[in-house]
Amino acid sequence: MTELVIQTESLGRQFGSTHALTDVSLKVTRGTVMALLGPNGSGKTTLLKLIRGLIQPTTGRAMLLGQDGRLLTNAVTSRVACLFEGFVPPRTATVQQLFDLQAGASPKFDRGMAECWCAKRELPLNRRMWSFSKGQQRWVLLGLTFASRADVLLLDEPADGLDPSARRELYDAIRDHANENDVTAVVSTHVIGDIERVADELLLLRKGRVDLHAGLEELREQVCEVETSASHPARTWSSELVLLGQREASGSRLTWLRAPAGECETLVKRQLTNSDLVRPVNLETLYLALTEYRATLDRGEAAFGSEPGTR
Amino acid sequence: MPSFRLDRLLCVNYNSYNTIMHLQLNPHSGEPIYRQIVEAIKFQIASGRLAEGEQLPSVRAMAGDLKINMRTVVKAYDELSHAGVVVLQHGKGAFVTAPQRSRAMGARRKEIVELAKRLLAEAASMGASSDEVVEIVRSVANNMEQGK
Amino acid sequence: MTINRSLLVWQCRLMLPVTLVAMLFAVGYAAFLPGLLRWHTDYLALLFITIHGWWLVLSVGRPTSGGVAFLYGNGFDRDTLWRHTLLASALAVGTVWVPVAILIWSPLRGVIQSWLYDNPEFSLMAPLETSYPWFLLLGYLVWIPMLHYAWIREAQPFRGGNSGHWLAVAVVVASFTMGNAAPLRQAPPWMINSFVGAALVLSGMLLLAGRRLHRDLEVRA
Repeated sequence: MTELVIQTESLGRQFGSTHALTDVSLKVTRGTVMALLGPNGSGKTTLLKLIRGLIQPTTGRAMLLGQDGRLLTNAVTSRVACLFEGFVPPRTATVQQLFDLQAGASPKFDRGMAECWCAKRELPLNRRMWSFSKGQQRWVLLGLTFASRADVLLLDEPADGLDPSARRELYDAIRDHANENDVTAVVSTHVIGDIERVADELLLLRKGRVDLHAGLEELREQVCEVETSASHPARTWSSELVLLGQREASGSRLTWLRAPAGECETLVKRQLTNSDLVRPVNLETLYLALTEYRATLDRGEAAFGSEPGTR
Repeated sequence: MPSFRLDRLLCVNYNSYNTIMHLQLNPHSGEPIYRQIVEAIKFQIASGRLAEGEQLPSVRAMAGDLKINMRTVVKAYDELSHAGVVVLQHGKGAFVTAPQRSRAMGARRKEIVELAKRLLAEAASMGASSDEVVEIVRSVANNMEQGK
Repeated sequence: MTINRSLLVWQCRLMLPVTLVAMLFAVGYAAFLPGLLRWHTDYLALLFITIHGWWLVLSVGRPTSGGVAFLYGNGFDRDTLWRHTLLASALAVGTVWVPVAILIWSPLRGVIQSWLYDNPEFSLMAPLETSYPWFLLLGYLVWIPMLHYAWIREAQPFRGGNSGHWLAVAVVVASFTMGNAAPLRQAPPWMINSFVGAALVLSGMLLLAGRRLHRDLEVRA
């Protein structure tokens, strides 16, 4: 059950003098849905392309289904489906033609599923891609990736251009495929709220490095938000707690803490006074807190030495 | 002759699950999902929507319905079983048990006091007085009784 | 070495516009050009091969285009893609070349010439044209792998650059110059043969190097 589908070892890639990705070591087991988050230019697309062997690493290596990403054979590529911005079929292609191609690319292609996927959005199969809107085109391509019945999905901002209900269906479909067929999916996105619902793991990249890699359920237990009065001096927390971020607003100070061993709230409560509040944090708040805090650290404004731990 | 297949036409093979239980989960609350399931099922039992002996949906169906990992459902059911709310029968599923009378009164009281403290603290942060909270608790309890 | 029909059809469809236009031009040229088609004076044919090949490879082999990237991101491995790209290119070239060759090798061109231009000498001179289609084919044999190689070279991760494209320009300049070189017009057969041999060797080397480098190619659409 714990077969490694994706494994990277100190994977890195430089473009000229730019370090797009640095020292990423990662293990993704079968059936995992991984949310890939990070600001623009943090290396999400580079990581996905390296895993699929579309670009070459400068350091380390990426393994996909047991093969080195630098030369994947058909035995692996036919089991992987991916979606990248700019990887688009010619505008003159019809939906039916795309199905035909996919049937040749993926041995397990399920034409019925692809047809039903398009029927959900009332997209006729004999129409050409240029007659569809951007979101509709995206929908067709998503249908191809799901109907390919691939074992691995690498999706780079798949929700881009989709309306809210389509986004919802997309993430539902990712979850269903992971539950029913043990599909492994790595999905990059900027809209955290959508993927938070279905993802198992979170990989947060910043400046090409792994900032945070954790299971979402564990993270929900490990992270909490503490509200204290801003008039008191900032508290030093016990060594079991890692400071993830801090912000002061309208008289109160919000602090985000992580207890890597679990149960953040219990640990924090030992140190709380009555006027303080501790509560769970949603992922979006955590993400913003973390990125803001790291940016502050980068500017050298804060003197906290603690590093957000990785799993 | 073109093969006409009704299932193909209606896409029944590819439709996702129907809602099997009305669990109000909020994936954005930051509360672990498994704990939300535990709370929601405890609430359903308390409000009488789930009766003693009734079977909970299978792990697969529940995960498919809520669009969550099956491991999360397993964890929730384990937690429920640990709390004595359901009993897991191997190969059959999870069944609601009778409300626990056996647990030591002291331990039970302590737990409820903790819950009450938490409720009052949350309410205070929203500016509600303890009298208001007590009144709300009473009316919720009345509603639950009527629901039975 | 299996052939994936879906992929081949898809790639051929990508080249449909260029193939249709090129076939129209080539057949028109071969059918209606008055006078003899001689390989060492035919700059128009050289120009035609240059443009046709360039457009053809552009539509199927440029990894920076979204359509080609779409294929690389799909379920095909690198060697399958390379094999099918070459096969599809060969089919597309064949679609243009075969009608032209049939036209020249059959009495058809003679009939058109005597009927349209009332050219009495044509039937006597016609055997001189026999080598012409082979000259066209040789042009494609060098030029198509050359251009594929140029794009693959450009898309290399660390040793990329335009060297492939410059090599292609050099090949064009060289072929035009050789067509113009006076001694070549009366060159002895061994000289012609060695040129043909050199061209075939170049073509083969480009194909082998292309296959090797194609595995490292980076898709940046």
